[in-house]
Amino acid sequence: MSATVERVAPDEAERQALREAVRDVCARYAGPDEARRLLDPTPGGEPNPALWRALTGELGVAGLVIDERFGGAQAGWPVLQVVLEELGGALAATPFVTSSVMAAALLQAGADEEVALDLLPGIADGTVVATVAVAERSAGWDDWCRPSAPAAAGTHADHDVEGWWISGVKRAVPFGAVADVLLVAAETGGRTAIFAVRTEADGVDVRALPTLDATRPVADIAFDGAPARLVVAPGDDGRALRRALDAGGLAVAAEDVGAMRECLRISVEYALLRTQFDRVIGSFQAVKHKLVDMLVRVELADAAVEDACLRADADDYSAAAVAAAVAHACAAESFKLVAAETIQTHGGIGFTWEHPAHLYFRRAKTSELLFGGAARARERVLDRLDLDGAATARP
Amino acid sequence: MAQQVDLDTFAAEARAFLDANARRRSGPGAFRWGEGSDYVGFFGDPNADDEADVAAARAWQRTRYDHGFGWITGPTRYAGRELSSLHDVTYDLIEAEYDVPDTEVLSVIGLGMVGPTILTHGTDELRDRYLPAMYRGDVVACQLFSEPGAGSDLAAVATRAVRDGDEWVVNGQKVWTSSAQHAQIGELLCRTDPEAPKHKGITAFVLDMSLPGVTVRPLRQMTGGAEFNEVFLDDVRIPDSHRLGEVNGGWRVAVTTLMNERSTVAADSGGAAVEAISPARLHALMEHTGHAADPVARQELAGLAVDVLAARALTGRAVRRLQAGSAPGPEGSIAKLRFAANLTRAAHFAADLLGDQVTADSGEWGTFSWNQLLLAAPALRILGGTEEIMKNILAERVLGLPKEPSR
Repeated sequence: MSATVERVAPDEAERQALREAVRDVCARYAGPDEARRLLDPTPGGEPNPALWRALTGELGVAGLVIDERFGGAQAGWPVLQVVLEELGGALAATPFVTSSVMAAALLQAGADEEVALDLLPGIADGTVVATVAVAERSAGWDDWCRPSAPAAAGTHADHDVEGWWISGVKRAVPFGAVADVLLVAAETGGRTAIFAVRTEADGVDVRALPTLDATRPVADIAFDGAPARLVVAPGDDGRALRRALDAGGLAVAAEDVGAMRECLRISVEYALLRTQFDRVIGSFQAVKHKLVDMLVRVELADAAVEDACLRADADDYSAAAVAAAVAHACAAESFKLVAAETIQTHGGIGFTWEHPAHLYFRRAKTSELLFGGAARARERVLDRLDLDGAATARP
Repeated sequence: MAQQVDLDTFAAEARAFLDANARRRSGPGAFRWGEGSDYVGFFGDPNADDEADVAAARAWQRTRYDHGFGWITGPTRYAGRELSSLHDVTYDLIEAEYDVPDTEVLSVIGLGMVGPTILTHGTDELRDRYLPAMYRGDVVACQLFSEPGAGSDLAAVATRAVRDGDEWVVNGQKVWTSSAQHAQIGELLCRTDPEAPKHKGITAFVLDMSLPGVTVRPLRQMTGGAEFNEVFLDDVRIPDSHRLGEVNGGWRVAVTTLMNERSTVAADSGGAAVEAISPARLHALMEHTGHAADPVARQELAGLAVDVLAARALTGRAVRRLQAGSAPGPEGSIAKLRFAANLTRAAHFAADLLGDQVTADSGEWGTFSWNQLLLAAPALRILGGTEEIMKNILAERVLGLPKEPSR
């Protein structure tokens, strides 16, 4: 029997209950008003810490894809998917993807056991916020995901009997200003290694940047001989970073699906409400067809994400990696279209500061440009499909 | 009632049957440059032997039927198994792993659409007479719906049927009829009450294609081949016993047929076209034309691969929902829209890679042959419901938007 039929979705009632719980928390601490507030650089204009406390303390969702032996719930990706969709739909400003998904994936894929046992329980219960610092001005994610360090690497590590230290500058680190621990890719002896650096350590300079989408804050981080702990030793062929990247791409895709569904919902609602020429605009074929184009993109992205989440926990990593890359690229492109057409469906009101459409548009564009941008994301699909390696094509 | 068979047992049974009667494919999508037929298109290969293909389709359907796989969801009375749609899908997925004759000529219209319609609306006499014969592979059925003046607005059919005692006398013309040249019967929609509102004056019949007055003429389409037909009906006398449903109740019958259409089009539009848009096949073409490292071509291939694989994921999601017992969602209609889009994009991408080798036949294997896909692609946006009509249906049924106000 084909793999498509064998994979069964997890308990639906359980997922639905979790969905409602996350939605309830988001209704309290996230949503368009909160996202808009973050855009104006006013005192206290940081993401509301109550959201993170509720997600981690009240709901305990930070460890969903962390193994039980590291203090996680090991609930799997199809359960995580529900949380991500709700966070995306509510435009939640939280380090969930960077800490609970990407840092968790990196540490579980390649970290020294002792380091993992030390860091993961805090990440799993949310008392520690971690992020991943990889991209630089001249070396992106894909450059760092290779066996040897990028030629243009600007972050270097060295050690003596006292331990390791690193120097260099990382660009636009997600949630860099709120993280406690940075997982930093650095060059040492021509190869890449990953280090854990505390943001409060000496020699770490964090500079938060204004962002297009304020719900996804970033910071430039400069290291000047900052004390570091070796997490992934040089010579893992970029595997740990690749896993973090694939997990991050899929997580963002799941968030995008939630956001797209919300865009479609408000657009259909408006098309049924708004009257011109004595008809609701949703009765005009030009508008109906536009909304169906949006529906098609939402359903495609949803299916790609669901497929990737079902594969993510399985043993066949190459199939999971293809599915994750497809989901990321598909969702990014879909969200871009859906967000733009949400503005268009709303007409003038959709172009106002007060309307939520621009908040989704900002997020869609940011999603598309994460991890090196859409072209890189597409190239990654070919890379994961491994078509070049075959003399004759393979399935 | 048939005995219910759990999916695993059924799958094992299907595998045993296929292992004994067919050869496993060496690998799905296995492709070697320069080997075998280089035909790339959606419709049949114009160079293929049509009659031989139909004979092979019939023989394979007969083998399925003899082993209990002829009509998996059908009633036992007509040699069906009375199993679920999921058993049906499961069988299709397993059979796809084997090299078996393409049975599209029988299955897409006849077994997928006309059969279920006869089952729902036909008399016992019609069911007994035609259903076992259809699912045994003896009878090919076609669908006599579209007319020159009734395309998207199907309820505007003008072919007239006038009652004369126990018979109906039919005059008119049908068009775009697939497989009419091979069919023994057709599901026919006629106008029986020209005074009634258009949806309420239609009656459906099973037409015996061998009756006097039935003329089938091939309709050559823009690809150069002739997959479709025009069917002319001149004083054709159909016995009333071949009526489907009530007099003037034909629209309900047509809806039953069309409800089965969209999923069939998306699921069965297989073969050379599905193979052609696989990322592996297009990558092989890139390698052959020296574009394997060209970043522009790579971006296009990757974009296409994303759409093709996402569409495949959508079909997978539909299967899982079926498995979980939920009603089918919009996946069938969306899959059809996306298949047309992906096929079109793949055809034009291949043409870009081939350049003048697709506009002028150099004689080289696997190059000029792509023009068949290029020329077939526009049909996908029309057949089985135009894109515009399908979008209206999705907008109304899935998004809950209002119908276009009638004049």
